[in-house]
Amino acid sequence: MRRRKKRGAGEVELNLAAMLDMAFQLLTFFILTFRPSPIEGQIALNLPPPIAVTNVNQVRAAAGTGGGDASVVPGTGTLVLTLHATPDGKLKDLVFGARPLLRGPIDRGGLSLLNTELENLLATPAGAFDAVQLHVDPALDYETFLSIMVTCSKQKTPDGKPLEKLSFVELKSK
Amino acid sequence: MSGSVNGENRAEPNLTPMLDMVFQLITFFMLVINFKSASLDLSLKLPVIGSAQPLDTQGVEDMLILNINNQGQLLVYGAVTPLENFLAKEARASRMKLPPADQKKADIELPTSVIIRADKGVSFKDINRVFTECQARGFRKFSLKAFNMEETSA
Repeated sequence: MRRRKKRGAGEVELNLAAMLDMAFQLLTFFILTFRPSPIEGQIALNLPPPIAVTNVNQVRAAAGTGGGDASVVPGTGTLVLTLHATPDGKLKDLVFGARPLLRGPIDRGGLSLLNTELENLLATPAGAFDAVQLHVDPALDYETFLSIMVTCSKQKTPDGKPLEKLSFVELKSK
Repeated sequence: MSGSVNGENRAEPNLTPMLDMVFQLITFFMLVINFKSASLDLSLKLPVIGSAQPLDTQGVEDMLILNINNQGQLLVYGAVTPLENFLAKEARASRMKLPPADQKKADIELPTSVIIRADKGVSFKDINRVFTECQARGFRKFSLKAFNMEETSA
């Protein structure tokens, strides 16, 4: 098929004004609906159904090795951290096993101290604990709980693997 | 200086460059528009955790986003919704994605990840209720959303 010859005199001109109107309407819609959302990070958790907590003292007793040597049955116990809250939801104190570790609202220094204590206890080859359980006051605010949980989740076991057994339970209301 | 416009000698602006520019702007906004953000409640003040990193699931993972306000209520598109009913409905939908042989197993792990976007002021009691309800319905994988730096706009 032969193409038609362009004629200089009868040139076809598109009316761009209508298209421009439509394009501006689309542009207005996109500008008005544009809401840049902030970048959010996330902390991944795998929460299987609840299982019984191993009590290291019971394990030691069952193994006939009572006494104070925690290295006898390594990697079988659950370290319990108890978090108490003030009525307004801030951290009142953190009890590390049976020992009070932190008092007052948590800050970077407190988290750093907790991290050091956990490292000393969990990463040593003779460590008695392979799991951490948080006993949390129901009034504690989410941010404090999350920051402590993340500190615990960063810990490693003596073989260099990340600590996987991390759980939390709600303390009974007073 | 004045100029008369008559039929024989009209001055018409060349609209083509303007149209090009407008189309480029439209293309930009079309590419950056994110309809997913409609399900995110941007009024929530998420906790600030330094180590929270964006996780790329390559779009293959099925997700259920739960927005929890500081009263512990579930917000779905801005409206307070009963948590139990919503989770039951979502769990049924998630169960349908399992192979037919697994759909009737009571304690099967659902393939959906639960993304929790909770206000930093919500109490542990309320957030624990969300976890418990999700676990009771077979959800096992969770992601807790947080900012990794203080939002200046918040």
